[in-house]
Amino acid sequence: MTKKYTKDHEWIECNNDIGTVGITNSAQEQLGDVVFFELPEINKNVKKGEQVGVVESVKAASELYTPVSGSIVEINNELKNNPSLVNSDPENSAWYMKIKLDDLNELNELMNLEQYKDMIK
Amino acid sequence: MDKEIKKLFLESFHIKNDAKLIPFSGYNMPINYKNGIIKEHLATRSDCGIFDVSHMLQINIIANEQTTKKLENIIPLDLYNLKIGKSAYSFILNDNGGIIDDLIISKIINNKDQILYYIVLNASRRFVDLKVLSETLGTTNLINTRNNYSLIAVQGPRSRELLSNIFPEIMKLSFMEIKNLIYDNFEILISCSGYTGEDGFELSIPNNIVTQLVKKILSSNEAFLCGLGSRDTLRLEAGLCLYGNELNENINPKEASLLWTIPKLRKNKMNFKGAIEFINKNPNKNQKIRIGILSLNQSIPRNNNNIYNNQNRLIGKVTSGSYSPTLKKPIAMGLVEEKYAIIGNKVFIESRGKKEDSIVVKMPFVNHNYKKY
Repeated sequence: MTKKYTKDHEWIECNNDIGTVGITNSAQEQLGDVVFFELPEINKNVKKGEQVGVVESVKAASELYTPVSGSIVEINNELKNNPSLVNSDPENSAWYMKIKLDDLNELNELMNLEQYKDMIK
Repeated sequence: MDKEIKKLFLESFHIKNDAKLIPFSGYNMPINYKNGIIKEHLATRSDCGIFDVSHMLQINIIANEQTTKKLENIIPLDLYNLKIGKSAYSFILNDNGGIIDDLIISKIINNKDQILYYIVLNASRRFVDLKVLSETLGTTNLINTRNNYSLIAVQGPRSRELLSNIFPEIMKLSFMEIKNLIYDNFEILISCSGYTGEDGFELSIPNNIVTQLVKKILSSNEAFLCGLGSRDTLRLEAGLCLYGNELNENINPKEASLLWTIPKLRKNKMNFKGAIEFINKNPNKNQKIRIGILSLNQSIPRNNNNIYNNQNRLIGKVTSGSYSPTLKKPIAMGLVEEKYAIIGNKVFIESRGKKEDSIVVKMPFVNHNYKKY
């Protein structure tokens, strides 16, 4: 499944109806050194665009918004001990949650890589 | 006021070195380089960081009996007895004792044997400072702005050894001492000071030679370019105030916990602007005072977050907050009602709707490493 992107600088990659979610490389570059993640609540049902957590860098705090509606099934506890992982590997091992999608059609409303690259130009 | 964003003389040099530039106080300033704030911060604590702080206002004023007397009216120091080659931290005060700007003032002697005050002030306060100083002196003619000089801070435990390879004369320079040296036929002012809490120096360098000199300092491979981001976390760990955060025209030196900077003589005579408003005056019950705060959670206090007591009453606000790369914890400074400014007192900082457990602590958060000879 291909990655999709949001205007809030998050990415989601789906395997069947489970989406893995993180922040984009461009987002981590803007934030700089990340020092703290307030991770989402597991088992919580959330609506697309709802705030689910916070990422804090030395410079600023930034909210995490879920790209899709669904139920949060897993969070990446590695980020609690090693938040700077998001600076070194933002679009891979530094995912912050996995979510079971309510409606796969919501993915169609998100950007593909090219569209996202256009947006951040 | 001039709204145009100015360039540092070294801007292209910074860009070549992968600086990320942001507008700050009217200048395009490096916030950090490619290694990021935390690595730059730690490099300054362990080795040597180089900061371009040329946005700051540098001025010279002839030091004579008249100018000394006039400056002492707004700057609460014993300028008359300030020795040549010495520097002091102080401020310009308004009629209410509020802080118009904080500054470092030095008495120097140039190669024409003139005795001068050399004053470094905040970029964001440039226009106000120059206005107040010229009003105080009764003329603009006595103020000479050092426009063609960069200001380069070289900070950290290795800075003395590194710089003395180029300037052997600074090897025994103590904290808050300053020397006028000749390099390549140019005069360079080197003061043993800085705003990181480390041993270090600030160099006022003519722009003609600043590029070559900065490259020379960097060539040791033990010095690292650092931006304003790490300068801010370093000064916060060192418990030092930032104008606009801890200090402004409505805060007096007592509230800023900076009474110690005012010599006894001046406190006794109370013969400077605003003295009556805060020296020997009983504080009103709402008087606030600057404190250091350690957050017991991971979320980071930010400027303007509310501070509460254990009865859920608002008692003050955070003035600066960040992550401390040295302590690996969130730290902050804030202004709170005086009765809560007790080391060990529990307070609560509101962050994103939650009230986080925090504790009033002694500053600096990280010990100063100043050198005296």
